[in-house]
Amino acid sequence: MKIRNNISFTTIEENTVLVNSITNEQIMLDEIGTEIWKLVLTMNNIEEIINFLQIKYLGFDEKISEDVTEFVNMLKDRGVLDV
Amino acid sequence: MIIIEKDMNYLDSLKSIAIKNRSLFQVEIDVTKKCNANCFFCYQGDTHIDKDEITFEEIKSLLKELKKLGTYYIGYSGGEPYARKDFAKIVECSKDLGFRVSIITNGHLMTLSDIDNLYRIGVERLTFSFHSTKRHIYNKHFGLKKGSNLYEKTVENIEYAKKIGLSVGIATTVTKYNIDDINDLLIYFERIGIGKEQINLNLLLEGNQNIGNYRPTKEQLYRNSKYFVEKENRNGFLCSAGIISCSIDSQGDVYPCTFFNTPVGNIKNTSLKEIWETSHYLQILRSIDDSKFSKCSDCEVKSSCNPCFVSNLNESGNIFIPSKSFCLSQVHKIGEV
Repeated sequence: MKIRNNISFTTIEENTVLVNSITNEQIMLDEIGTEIWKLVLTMNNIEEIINFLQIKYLGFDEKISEDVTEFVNMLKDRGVLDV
Repeated sequence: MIIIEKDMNYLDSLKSIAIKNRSLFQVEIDVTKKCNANCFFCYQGDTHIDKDEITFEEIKSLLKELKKLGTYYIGYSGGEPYARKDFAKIVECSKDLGFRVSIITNGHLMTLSDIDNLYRIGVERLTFSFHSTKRHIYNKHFGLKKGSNLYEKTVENIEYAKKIGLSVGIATTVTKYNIDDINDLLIYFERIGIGKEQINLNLLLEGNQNIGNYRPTKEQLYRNSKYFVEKENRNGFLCSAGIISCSIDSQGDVYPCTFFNTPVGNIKNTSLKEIWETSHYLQILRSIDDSKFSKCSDCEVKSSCNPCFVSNLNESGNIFIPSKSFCLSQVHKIGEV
């Protein structure tokens, strides 16, 4: 996963805003989105993120897998990530 | 998890949180004092030395700290940033960390390949200092010799940056020498696709560096007042210096903004977080509210005005009282002062 170079972002109080400088679209991530986003910044692939969260939040394997996949796909569709 | 509403300005929402929390949202970094030019109005004077310049490693570590603090905007300036050999590396590092990056340059030292590089790494804004389309006036402002080819080189750089799709801005310091040529400047930039909304006309204010003599005269201001359109002040009456923004110079000294003379700390020996959170001086600035500006309370242009503490101090001797020159520069008030 790679964040596109036209994306700038910041996080304040567990809220993250991503800005696409080409389209000027702004995306807000809530607390849960921000937690996954921070993992996107440090981990290499979607499986690594899912594994990390499944260990952190035991008993929610399927839900975590679905949510993270949906999250990453949405960011890909919005031109934020190259996967 | 993801919230997207068309036309919603989430960044403004985040900025409001930053104002409430006094988070450091915006930082200007002067990466060097070195400069090839010698502008007579430069706030740094003519001391373009590189003594104790912050290293690339120090800047890299600063950028990582800024990311943790929630900083979004980084503005690079100088001196002339491209007088620093590792400047491209500094910018690339900033973009890798996800900052919104803008650069102010005189355009004299950068190459077309530097511009390609800025486009490749996604720099959001490249602003050129450009003071006249008349070569001799241009040279006079930058302190360049008569045979200099830097005017042509800069024009080439500006046109190339625009052509490849970079967001280009123009910063023009308005003096008594160039104010009557503003129209030519606007026409030229309009022709190459840089509209007047991308051009900042900065009126030279009086200050402590004997620049008052270079200000446009009252008659010149009258004559050219149409170019200084009133803009809504999106940041409110008080400026953001020390509230959500600060400036760091090339020696690592931290200031509320570039124009303050007294540093509030140095990043070489104290973390920026500690400086930002504990500086007594910054706390005083943050305690200031509109009510201290008694002279401005009934002013009809208060909503579009943004008086500068430093200019006030330099010009009127009181940080809460704008000088006559400042009020005059709010052109809609010309005639009342």
